[in-house]
Amino acid sequence: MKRSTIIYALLFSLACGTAAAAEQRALQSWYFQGTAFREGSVAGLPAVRLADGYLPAITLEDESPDAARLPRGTGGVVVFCYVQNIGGKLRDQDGFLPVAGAAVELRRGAWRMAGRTDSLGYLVLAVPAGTYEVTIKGQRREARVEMGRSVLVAVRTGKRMVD
Amino acid sequence: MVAVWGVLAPVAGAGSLDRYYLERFGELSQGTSQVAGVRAESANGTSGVSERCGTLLWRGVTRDWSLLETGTQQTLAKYLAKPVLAGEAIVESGDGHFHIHYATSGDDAPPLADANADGIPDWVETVASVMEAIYTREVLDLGYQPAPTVGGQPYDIYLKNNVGGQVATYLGITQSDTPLSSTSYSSFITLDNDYVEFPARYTPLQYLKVTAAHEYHHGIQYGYNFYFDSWYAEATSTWIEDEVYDSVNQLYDYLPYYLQNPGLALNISPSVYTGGGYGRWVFNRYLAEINGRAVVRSVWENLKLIPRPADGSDIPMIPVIDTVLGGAIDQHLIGLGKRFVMENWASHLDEISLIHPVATVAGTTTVSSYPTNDYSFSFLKYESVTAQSATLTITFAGKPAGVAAVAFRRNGSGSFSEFAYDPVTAAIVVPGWSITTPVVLMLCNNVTGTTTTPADPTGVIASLTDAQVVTAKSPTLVSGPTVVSSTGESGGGGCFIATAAYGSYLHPKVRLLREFRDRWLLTNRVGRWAVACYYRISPPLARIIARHGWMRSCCRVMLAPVVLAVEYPLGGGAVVAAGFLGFLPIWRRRGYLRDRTAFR
Repeated sequence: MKRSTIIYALLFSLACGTAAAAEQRALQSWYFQGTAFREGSVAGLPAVRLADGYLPAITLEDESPDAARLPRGTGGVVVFCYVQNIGGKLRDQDGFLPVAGAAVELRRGAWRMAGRTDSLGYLVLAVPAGTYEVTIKGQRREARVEMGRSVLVAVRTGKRMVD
Repeated sequence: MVAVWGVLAPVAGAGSLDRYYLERFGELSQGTSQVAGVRAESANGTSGVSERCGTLLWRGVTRDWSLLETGTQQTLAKYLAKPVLAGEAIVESGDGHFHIHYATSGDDAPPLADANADGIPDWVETVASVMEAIYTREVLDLGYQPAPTVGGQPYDIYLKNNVGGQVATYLGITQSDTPLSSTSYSSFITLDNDYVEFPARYTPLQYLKVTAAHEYHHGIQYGYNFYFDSWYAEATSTWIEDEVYDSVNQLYDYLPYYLQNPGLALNISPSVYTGGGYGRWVFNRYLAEINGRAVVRSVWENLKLIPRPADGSDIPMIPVIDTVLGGAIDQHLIGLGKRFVMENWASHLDEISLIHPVATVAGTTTVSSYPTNDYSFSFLKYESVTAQSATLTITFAGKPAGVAAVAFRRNGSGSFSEFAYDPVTAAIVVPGWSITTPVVLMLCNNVTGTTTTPADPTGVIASLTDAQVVTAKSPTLVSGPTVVSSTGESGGGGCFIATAAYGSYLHPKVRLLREFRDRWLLTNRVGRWAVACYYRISPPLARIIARHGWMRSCCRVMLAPVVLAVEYPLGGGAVVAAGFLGFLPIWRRRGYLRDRTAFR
């Protein structure tokens, strides 16, 4: 009796540990590198935290976001809006500037939805699975949203020629 | 914790909105964790990710600008894309192509000296004149389409102090603004407010001239096709500096970075450290010498025809240039390399000494290393140690088909002789090699390996003199610093009271009065004095008038005869005279005239 209790306890701990590890592994970090998203994280840059079945989160530091499940039948869309910075005669100023407050429109047939990017240039939405046209300031991108998964869309809405 | 869920920016009352933005921009010392800004990795793949000083939230704060308190606006102004200037005034350039926005107080204010007492700082008038001269050269003379604006409004130029710390960070910036079609964008320019913080090698006026010429061409480029390849944009903007202001010659400062690193591709990303973009202006110089200046414009006109890439990326420029050159970009690259060695430029002859010599490395008689980047070079130098004339044989091991090899022997007279690569022997044989006749081997990765070059022009190509202002019209103040509408738009106007009365300096009646001022008052000493007096006394009155609807109505009634007289000098004058006569009996009845008579 005692032995079996110990075995059950061990199995239970193992299951919990495995589940926790699975949860850890499923959480991916992405960051915007200047022209596209890359997997990983860089100090000082906002990270997009993704996990299947969960609403994406934008974090400023290496922290675990609160888990919020995607509504049934939906997938996540992360839109990032930026202005490209190019050149610099006196100092190299290649890079990008996030665009806060940009109006974003998602369209799928007659279905439309609009929102604004946040202070870091991001807009996070949960939408029904399907292919959407994302429009910001005349720039269009296509985003294919799968149920329970998330897609990252970076939209350059301007260029800044420095010098 | 989830830091930002980011569906909508927080909505709050004005007070908390101020606090919100100040906190987000790190302007409140609350210890709030805030990412100040971001920079991407550099184009060459090195890990250049680092922070850039505060630029986040700029669009959001623009949106909510009118809701913020003045102090908050002043604190956050530096973060905005379109500069917000303290006590902003706007001057329209003589021919009306530009609006010069400047601060009338604070760090961003340009030198405010006004020697001719016309109410516009002399430096601002200079900027306006320079911009018109640039427009004349780039648009009217060289045939580029003007930088487009929304509704054909004058192009916006902002004067702003760009010093970051002790060192100026940029000369000028051109930023895209509003999409006008799927590929064409409007834009605006930010120039330094005085150019006094820059190295004294050039005067502030020289900095202004070449920077404005450079930046305005970027504005033109946004009009042709927003998806331009940035290296060619910088190459063209830098090249045109010397076509607009030939006497300044700042562009030669960017050549050493290219000519010391000829192994880097023609189309690498712009960087002052590699010569990318900026230093490539010399390629346009060569194209113009061979094909005429219009060839550069043709490249942009061809780019205009290319639709927006589906993925929103930039359009590679090499194929566009190649199309314009009839598929002969390979030949033109060889020709450019020859210019580097022989220094036989056909234009701007008095500036050849400013062109940095191309970097060479000591050559070996067996060559096995070649330029690997498409559209790049390497130069090897062979110097004899004796005066005895000898034959130099250079053999090639594994020469790629896309690399062209040409040897040049400098003759005693200073001329050059060329020696071609023999594919049968895989060698170049150069006779007459001695200590006084060194040899340079050019290896050019022009993709095809051709050594054919375009025909050189038969004579010297005349340089254009510095661009001059051709308009006789003076710049005019279209918006003063005193009347600001609740939306944050400047609503002043040269005619302050009229602007307040009619609600906008763009109102047709206000425009009419401005024209009257410009045509009849500012053209003579008495009129200028009257205008100067008006500018001194009218702003506070205008402020009061703008706040009260009934005062605006009264003003419009009082201004009606003036507007009428300006609009219809004869008929209006008659009506005013008739009105005056109509009032005479009333005056008489009230005894005004009797009293005046009695007073005599």
